[in-house]
Amino acid sequence: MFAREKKGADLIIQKIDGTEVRGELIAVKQNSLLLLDRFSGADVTIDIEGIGTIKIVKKTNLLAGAGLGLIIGGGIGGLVGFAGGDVESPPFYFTAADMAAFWAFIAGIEGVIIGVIVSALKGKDKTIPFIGKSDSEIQEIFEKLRKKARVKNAQ
Amino acid sequence: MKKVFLNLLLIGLLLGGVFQQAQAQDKKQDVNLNVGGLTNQSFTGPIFTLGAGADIHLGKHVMISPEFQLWSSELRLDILQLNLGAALNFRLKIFFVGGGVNIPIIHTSTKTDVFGLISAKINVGLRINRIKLTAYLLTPFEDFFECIQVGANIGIVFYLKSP
Repeated sequence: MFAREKKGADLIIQKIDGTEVRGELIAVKQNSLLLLDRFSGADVTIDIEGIGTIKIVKKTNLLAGAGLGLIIGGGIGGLVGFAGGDVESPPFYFTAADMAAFWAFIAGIEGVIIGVIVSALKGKDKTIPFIGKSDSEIQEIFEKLRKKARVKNAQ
Repeated sequence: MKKVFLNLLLIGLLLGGVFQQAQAQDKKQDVNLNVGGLTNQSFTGPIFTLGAGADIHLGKHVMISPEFQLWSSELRLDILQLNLGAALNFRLKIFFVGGGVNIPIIHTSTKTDVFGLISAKINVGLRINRIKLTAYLLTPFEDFFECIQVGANIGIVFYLKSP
């Protein structure tokens, strides 16, 4: 059985000549990047000299953030409500379970909001400018990109 | 009581003016109905809320959100409060954050610690299509940030002008 290869990062490369290439980062070589072009499906090699900016397109999973926020917020709220015990307010009487539901509702909504905000911030695209960078800075960027490539040990 | 009515009149005139101006300029407007919960000062008994509000969009990122909210402490019909509020919100895509004021208009009992107090409101939320989720914090001006209530509600949005 072969392990499923992890997909490379989705990049948008703005070239110095004004053209743009978008695709999956297959490999980072010494002086170029190899991308699988999103539109043509062909491999494209982009020389280091021609790169203006690189944008790393991140996936935003708001639904997962909302779900996680709901579970964490609702869970904590429920526990806090339950721990507070019964509330007696004649003619009404709220059991610890009622209070747990009330707090789970409030904290659940707050959790969803926080979860979605965190997911949106985490999923924000990152733009890396290349123009004016020194060779060592560019190599540093390439090292970071290598970790995001489909083939990590390409030469 | 006189002060509350004066405040109410002032807010009413202000909101009426904003609504008219928004309609004249063909701004986006929508209303929402919401239900939720709120803590009391001691974070013990629940306050249930039922509300109706509007979002008047004054630009791409700014909206004024007036609202009415009915509170019932511990679901008791003898401890009710009707509030009028307005907030200035900044909107970025599906998120909004802002602050405003919450004014009790009618309250049937002073038994509950937070009833009858004019409060500042800070809110943050999400609007995804017709669903609006809001989390907020209320603090009375007379005990500013010494007394805090937190609440949240879920609402359904009805568009008055197409989004």
